[in-house]
Amino acid sequence: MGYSFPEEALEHVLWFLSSDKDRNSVSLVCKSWYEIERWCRRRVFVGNCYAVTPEIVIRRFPEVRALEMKGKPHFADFNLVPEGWGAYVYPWISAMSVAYPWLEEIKLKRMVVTDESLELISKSFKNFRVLVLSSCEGFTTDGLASIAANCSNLRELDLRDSEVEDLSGHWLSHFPDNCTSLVSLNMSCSGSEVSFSALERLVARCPNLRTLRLNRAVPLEKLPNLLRRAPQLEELGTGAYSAEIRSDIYSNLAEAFSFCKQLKGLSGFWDVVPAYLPAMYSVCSGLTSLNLSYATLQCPDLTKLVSQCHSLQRLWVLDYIEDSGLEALSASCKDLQELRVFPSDPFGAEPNVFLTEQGLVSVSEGCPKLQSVLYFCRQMSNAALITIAKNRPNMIRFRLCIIEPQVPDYLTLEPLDTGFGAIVKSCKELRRLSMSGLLTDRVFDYIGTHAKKLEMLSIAFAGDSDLGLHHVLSGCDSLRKLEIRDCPFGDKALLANAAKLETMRSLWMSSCSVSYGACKLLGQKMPRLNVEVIDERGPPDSRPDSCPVEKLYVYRTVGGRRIDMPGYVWTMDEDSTLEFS
Amino acid sequence: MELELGLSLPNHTPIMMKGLFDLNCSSDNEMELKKNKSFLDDDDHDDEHGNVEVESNNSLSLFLWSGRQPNDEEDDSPQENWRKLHLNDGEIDEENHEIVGWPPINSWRRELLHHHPGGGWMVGNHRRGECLRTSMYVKVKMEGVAIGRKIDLRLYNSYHTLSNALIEMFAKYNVIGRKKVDYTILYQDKEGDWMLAGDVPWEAFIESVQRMEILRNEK
Repeated sequence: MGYSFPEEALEHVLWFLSSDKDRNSVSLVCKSWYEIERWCRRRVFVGNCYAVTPEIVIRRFPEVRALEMKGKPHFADFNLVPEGWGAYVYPWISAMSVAYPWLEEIKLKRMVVTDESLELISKSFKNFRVLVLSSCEGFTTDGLASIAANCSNLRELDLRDSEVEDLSGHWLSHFPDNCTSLVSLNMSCSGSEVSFSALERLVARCPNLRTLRLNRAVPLEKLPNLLRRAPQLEELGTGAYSAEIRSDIYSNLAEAFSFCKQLKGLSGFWDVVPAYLPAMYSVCSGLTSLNLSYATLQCPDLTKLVSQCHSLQRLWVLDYIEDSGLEALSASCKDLQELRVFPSDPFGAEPNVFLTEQGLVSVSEGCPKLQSVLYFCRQMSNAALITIAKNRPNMIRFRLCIIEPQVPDYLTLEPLDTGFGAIVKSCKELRRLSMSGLLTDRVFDYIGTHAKKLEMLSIAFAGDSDLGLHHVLSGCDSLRKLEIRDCPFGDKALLANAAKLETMRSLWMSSCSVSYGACKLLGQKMPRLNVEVIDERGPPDSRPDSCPVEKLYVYRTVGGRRIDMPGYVWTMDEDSTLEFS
Repeated sequence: MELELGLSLPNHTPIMMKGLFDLNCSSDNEMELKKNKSFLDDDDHDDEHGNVEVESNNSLSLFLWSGRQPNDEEDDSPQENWRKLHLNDGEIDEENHEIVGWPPINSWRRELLHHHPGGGWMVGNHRRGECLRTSMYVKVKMEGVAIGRKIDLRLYNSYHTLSNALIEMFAKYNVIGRKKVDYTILYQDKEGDWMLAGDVPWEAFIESVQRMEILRNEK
């Protein structure tokens, strides 16, 4: 007696499901639900481009409109992944150009995108709207010119933190005169000077433009021209924020800012001349996001500025803000959710600013909504961490970088185990943690015991033995990404927890003591993992099996071993011969 | 789907968890691992120390935890090798005596702050007629204050802006009650001589200054 739920009704219901997790659950109910769901999934997120192949994605989801994908491991940001490692997007674009003619969005992070890929995108997808390239590389301004010229409905072009080879600034002029659809343009990472009049005309004819992030080459004197043509802007990234001190430039700028009543976010501020700061004061009270992390302003100017931003939710700033500036921040910005403090002199041997653990403690005390922290400093104490943990049990992301590796609690000279232990014990919703300073195996015991919601963990120069790694792999139930460098973790913990690796997206270990033999064993016995050894010293076979590998990257995959590896990457798999001497 | 138990490596006999470890790394080897699901639930294994608990993730474990401490035995245990490798060298960038990839800041910030000229986005600056100077950090000490400061002279373009900034920086050291304080700013030049700041043109000062000192003249 089958009364079955009509397909159309189910499809209508599924329309409201945007979360991948929910859609994945739906597809597990029964075969017909699996079928209905796969035909109406429009957005696909691939967290690791090598975890699956384009063919598999296309076969399962034939009607995709938006793809979001990530490539290289996170530590590639810090030069730990050698050139040519992989993460090429071209095979995906090529396959999708045939399978998804109606594709609208592509968002990529840490991938290699060539001009060829960009040109193929621009010519293959008639309704293409959104291109976000975050920390990508491999393309030039010629590729951007193709996108500008051919994507007639483009809404977003965002190149945040990508490396673009600047052949010419003329790429911007390739936007046709009838292109009026831009909502977001982020060209802050490009170096070349674009034609200002072309930029001006583009901004003027796009009435829906909400986000505009300029590059350093756009001079401050010209900024008012753009602001006047786009008073509806919500997010602005300035170019260089410096000019000769002239009152006409100043008043022009101040007036232009005063017209922008919708501004919520500001960034840019390269080469800041403090005299021009008050020109933007009129927008401060409405700002929710402020990125001053490229602004070499000193403490007094910074303090004065942030103290006026009473609605601030996110602040990125250099450590010139010092403890006193952070104290002012904690008094003025009660809605603050995210704070990132970057080092102004990370390679200097001695502190150049008065920024200590106290600044972070103040903010944790004064800002009840603070949930996301990235903090670079030169000293820390267990007492401070315990206080922060007690103040902010709502912390979700906590990344602390004490600049000198393996530095102990500066008050007691003990390891910082208890401090970080307090963090994981108190902050029950903690999803991301990066640690630094002197840390023993004990901290990993605390993490394994308490950090049950932890999804991403970054470890450097920490731990004493395999026990540390074992605690993490066996205890952290929600762990998806684990990245480790320069820790004495070896074969035992890795092999004892091999199955755990299939429940995670990836594991990175560099400058640890995992032997080649263990890598081979792992690869041989775990066919659903790709175990990749990165070693620039030449083939690992030329060294004894007990020799530690330079770098190891392990990730789960249904796509099999990849075929685009450079000469210094070896995949350990079933074909690896096992030799025991 | 249950996977097979215990992979035996030739020449290795699976060594059971003999006892418990001490997190304090004392020589006694007493430690309790969390028990999730007993990997080997046969009754044969060695129970002499009481709890034999092996963590498992409900399937295959490729190596059974031996319970040996690092440094227990041969010199070339993995941990010992690691220590030898890392205490002295590590991955040091020869030119800069820095550890590769540390501190963890991305290449954009590194270029901006490490003052390496070059890279696409800094080249654009030449158009404005500015020259890219390398770092100009000098130490500044105030008389009577224990901790010195370091400032980046590139941020200033005149004695006026510099002295304002210095005074604000050290303002916290004014003892309450003494309102009227005059400052004399001295600097040590390339030849090692101490000079009064302000005598030579700013550009010459920038070329020559090695460090600075602020003297207080209370009236």
